[in-house]
Amino acid sequence: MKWTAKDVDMYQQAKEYVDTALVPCIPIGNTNMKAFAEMSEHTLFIANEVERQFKGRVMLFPPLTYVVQEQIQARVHEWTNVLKQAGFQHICFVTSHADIADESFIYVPALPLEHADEAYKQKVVRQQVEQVMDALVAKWTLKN
Amino acid sequence: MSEKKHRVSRRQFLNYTLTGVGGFMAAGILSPMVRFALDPILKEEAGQDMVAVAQVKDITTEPQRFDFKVKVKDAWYESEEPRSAWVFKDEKGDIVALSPICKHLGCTVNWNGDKSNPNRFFCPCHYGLYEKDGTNVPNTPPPAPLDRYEYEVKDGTLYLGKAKPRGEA
Repeated sequence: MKWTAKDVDMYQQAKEYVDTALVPCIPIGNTNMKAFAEMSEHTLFIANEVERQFKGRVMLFPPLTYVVQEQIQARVHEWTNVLKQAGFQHICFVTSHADIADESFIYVPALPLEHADEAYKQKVVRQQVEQVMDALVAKWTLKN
Repeated sequence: MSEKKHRVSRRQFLNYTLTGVGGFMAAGILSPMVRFALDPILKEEAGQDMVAVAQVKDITTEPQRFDFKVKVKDAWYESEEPRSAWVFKDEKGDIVALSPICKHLGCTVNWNGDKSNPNRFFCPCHYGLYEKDGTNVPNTPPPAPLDRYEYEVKDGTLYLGKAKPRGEA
């Protein structure tokens, strides 16, 4: 589900089934803009794809956007608390930004795929989507 | 005498010409309006186009996943949306194309996704199960069988249309 009025309606009716929050984390920087834009694009793409496959159990939130100079840990902590209170048991932060990705994040490295051919691109992206999905399934089975 | 009888008076002449010209003008204004009013009835139902998905020779009795893209038009915004289908041939040799969207809350189901339930479609979100023909297994969350795509075979290529709930397709 996505953070839209229609999906939130659905979420409220099926709250007990939706226990996972997915938050893409997106950096903004005043230097090296292109690299950050690539990371953002990549993170959002992967997150959208995961949401499409796991629509019924995952709520995809609007991205947590930050400037690279920022200490993001406090904000991640804050988001986690709020979402936990909202009833989400699993809160996953996805990022392509290696500098912030510690073990609490799911790290999906943005690859320079601009010039790669379409088939290769799709393969790489699919692998990463599957990797995130596996991480989620692992969390779910651990709990049950 | 006869000449006089056939003479058209000024009043008659004006009457005829004005009615004639007025009639043309009225027709000119009304006929497009009538056409506009009737247009919704005359229009064909805007069906989704069939999309080429796979070669028939690639389809086996084992469900395979095929990904394709459909054009979606939302008001003036057109976009391509990815779709998938689980396609196989049933015992009678007929092609079955199932939508992978779980009828419970819309996750994507997988064939043989759960090792303890072989030869079934499995939804990883809430452990929903479907038989091979798409029928939902009782006592799992899904409330209905998987949707089936309308399909068409042309020159050895499989085309898929809209996914419809079972019973309608």
